[in-house]
Amino acid sequence: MFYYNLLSIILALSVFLLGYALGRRVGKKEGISEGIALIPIEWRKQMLETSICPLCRKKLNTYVNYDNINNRE
Amino acid sequence: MWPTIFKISLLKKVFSVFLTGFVIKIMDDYSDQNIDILIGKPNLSIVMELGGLPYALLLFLLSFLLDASTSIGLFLASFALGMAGSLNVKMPSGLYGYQESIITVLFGFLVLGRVNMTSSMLIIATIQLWDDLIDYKKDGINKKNWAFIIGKVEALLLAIIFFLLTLYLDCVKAISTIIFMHIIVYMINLLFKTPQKILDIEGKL
Repeated sequence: MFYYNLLSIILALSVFLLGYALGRRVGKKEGISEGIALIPIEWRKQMLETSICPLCRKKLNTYVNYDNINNRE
Repeated sequence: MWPTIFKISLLKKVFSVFLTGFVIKIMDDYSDQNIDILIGKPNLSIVMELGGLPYALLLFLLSFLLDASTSIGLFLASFALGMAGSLNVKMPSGLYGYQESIITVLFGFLVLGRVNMTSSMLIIATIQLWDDLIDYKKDGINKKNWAFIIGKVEALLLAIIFFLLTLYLDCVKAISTIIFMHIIVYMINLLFKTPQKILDIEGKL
């Protein structure tokens, strides 16, 4: 009876391990692809909110207006 | 009469596991001494210097006299799994690591039988995984850590499964190996802590 129970526990743990390992690896890949898709939008949002480039940390030029279309007059 | 014989053989097996554990630890420290010096990890071969080999042989001889099949099984399993860590490295014998591993395992299966060799390999794998889990935070340079390669939870679950399988195959070996692993580690830690304590006391005096 003891050995039968032991085998059942081993089987249950093996199934759990298989599911966990597969799920973790698939989840990692999904997370990376989601991150790659989201990061440009997130950076653009940050730049528009703070006027600081999230890559090089430089502040955007907000003092001189280089807008040729609206500056014609 | 039978219970006495059973108890004596049990004790012989338990002590054989203990002595073989020490031999494996000396062997493991000898092969890892360069990495351990870099990391600053306590290593037996630094303390024992050239005396490691004679002590290891003597201890192995004693463990062999106590219980031959257990000591050979554990030693062959640790040798095979240790070589499996460096699969594509050419060994002094001229063979690659994986070739030495396969030959050792096949030899073990032929000499000791399936149950003994399988249980030995499983318990050594359990110890390897458990050791890697404990060293997870310390191991930065060393990439051979299984907790890094397969993941922490996977390593823990595999260690538990391997231990239970060993328990199924050989109850005495499984329990005694796990207990003696911790005792050996504790003894070695004591060995490394003692000079420091003495130095501290001398410094205070």
